[in-house]
Amino acid sequence: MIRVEDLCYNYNAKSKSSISALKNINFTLKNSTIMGIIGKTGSGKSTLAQLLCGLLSPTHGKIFLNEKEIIKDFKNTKEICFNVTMAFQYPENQLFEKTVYDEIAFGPRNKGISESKIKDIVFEVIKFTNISENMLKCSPIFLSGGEKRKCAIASVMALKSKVLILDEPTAGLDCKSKSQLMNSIFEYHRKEKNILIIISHNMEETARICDKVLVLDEGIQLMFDSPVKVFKNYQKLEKLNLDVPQTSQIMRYINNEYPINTDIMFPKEAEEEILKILNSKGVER
Amino acid sequence: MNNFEFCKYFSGNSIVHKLDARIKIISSLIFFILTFSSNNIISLSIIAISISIIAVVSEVPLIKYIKSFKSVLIISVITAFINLFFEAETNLVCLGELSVSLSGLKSSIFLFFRLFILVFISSITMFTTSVQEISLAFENLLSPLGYLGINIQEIAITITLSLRFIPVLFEETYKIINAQKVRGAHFDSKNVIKKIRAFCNIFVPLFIFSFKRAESIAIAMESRCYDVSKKRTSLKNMELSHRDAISIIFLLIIFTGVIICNKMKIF
Repeated sequence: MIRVEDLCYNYNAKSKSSISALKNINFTLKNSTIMGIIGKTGSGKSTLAQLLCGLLSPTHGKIFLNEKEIIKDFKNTKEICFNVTMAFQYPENQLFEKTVYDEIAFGPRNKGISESKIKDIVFEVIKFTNISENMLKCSPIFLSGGEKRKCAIASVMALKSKVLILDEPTAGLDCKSKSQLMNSIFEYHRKEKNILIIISHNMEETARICDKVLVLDEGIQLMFDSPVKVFKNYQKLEKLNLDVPQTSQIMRYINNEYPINTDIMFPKEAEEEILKILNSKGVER
Repeated sequence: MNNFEFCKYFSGNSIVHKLDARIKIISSLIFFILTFSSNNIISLSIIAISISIIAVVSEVPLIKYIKSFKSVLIISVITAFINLFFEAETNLVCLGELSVSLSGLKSSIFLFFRLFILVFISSITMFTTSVQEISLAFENLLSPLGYLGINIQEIAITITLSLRFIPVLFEETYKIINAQKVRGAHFDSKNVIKKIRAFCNIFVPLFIFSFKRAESIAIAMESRCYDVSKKRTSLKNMELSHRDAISIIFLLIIFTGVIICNKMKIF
C-alpha cells in the first residue's frame, strides 16, 4: 500500500526563487491498483513520480510505502528504488549497456540477484514486452525506436518492484505499438500484482486500464477517484485543456438528442447501448 | 548537478551588463594573464579586490558565484595538493618519498587562489554577457582572421551553440543519472570503484544524445537555408561607449599596479 499525506514540494525551496510544484497531495493506493496521473504540462506529474521513488525529498508531508516512510525509514535511495521503480519519459534515450540482455539485467544485478535467477527474470520480462530472444544479443543502441522503448520498459520491469511508475510510456509511439505496449504492461501488472502508476496524456488508455485517476492542475490535486467519476466531470477537465475519452464525448453528443448512459467510455459498451436504444425504437441491426 | 549555474546568463541592467562584450572578453583575458603572472600576495590581492568590486557592481547574487566555485572546488583542491610536492627546497614535512617545502606550500596556496580567481573572472563575464553578445564579440574580435581565409562565422556559430547547449547537456546528465539510480546504480556507493563505474555508464547515453542533438540542429538549420559562407549582418551593432572607455582606464590602472607589485620582493 502507498499512502501520501499532505505532500508539498517546492523547487529551490531555500532560495527566493522557490517554485511550488505540488501542494497538499493526499491519496492512498491499495496493493495491485493501477493509478493514472493526468494533468497538463507543468502540473507536477513528473515531480510527484520522482518524490514517490525517493529521487526528491518532500518539502512538507510524508509518503508511506507499506507503513514505512519513504527516505526516512529506508537506508538509501537504492533501497527505495528497489521497492519503487520508475521509467522516465523517453526511457530509450537512457540505454547504455552493450547488449539488450545486459540492459535488462542491470537492475537485478544491482539488487544482488544471482545470475541464474537473473536469466529467468530476463526471459520472463521479454515475453511480456514481446522482445524476441534473438534480440538479446543485439546492442540496444541500434534497435528501432519502438524496440528501444520495449527494452527500456523491460529493464524496469525486471526489478520486480512493489510499485512501478511509468512516465508517459507510450509517448511518441504509433497506435498499434501503443496498445501493444499498454497490454504488455497490463499483463505484467496482473501477474505481479504490484501498484502501477501511469502518467499519461492518453485518456482512452487511462480510462481503460486504471482503477483510480489523479488529476493535477498547477500542483494542486483536483480529483482522485475512479475513471468513470473523474471523466463525468468533463467540464472541469475541458477547462484544464484535458481530453476525455472519445467514446464518452460521442455518448454526450447523443445524449443531447436522446437520453443515453453518458458514463460509458469504451466502444464496445457504447455499441451495445446504442443498439439497445435503436431496438427500443424498432430499428433493426 | 541540477543547480548547474556556471555559464548561465543572469539578465540584469548593471554597468557590467551594459559594457561591450568585446571589452569584457579582452579584460577577462588580461585578468587571466595578470593572475598567472602575479608572484606575490599584494598583486594577487589587487586582482582579487578589483574583481570583487566588479562582482558587486554586476548585481549578480553572491550565491551564483558560490555555486560556480563549488563546481570547481574539488579540481582546485586536488591541483593545489599535487603542487605541494613539486618544489625542491627546505623540507617542512616528509611523507616517505614525498616532501613538502615552504615554497611548495606557498605555490599551492597561490595556485588554489589563482584557480578561484579564474573561475570568478569567467563567472562575471558569463553571468553578465548573453550568448548572442559573446558570439557577436568573438566574430568581431576574430574578424582579422578572415583575411587569412578562415571562416569566422563558422567559429562564431560553433561557440554560440557550444555555450547554449552546456546547460542542456547538464540537464540530460541529471536525467540519465536519475534513470540509472532508480535501477539501483551505485552513485551513492562508498566504494570508489563502484562509484566511478556508475559514472562511466552515463557517458554512452550522453554521447548519443549529444550527437543526435547536434545532428538535429544541423538539419533544422539547413532546412531553414542556413549557409555558413554567407556574409551576415547583425541586428545589434557593437559600438564602444564612454562606459567602455572608463573600464579600459580602470583595467590599465590594475594592470600597472599588478606589474609594479610583481617587481617588489614581497611574500
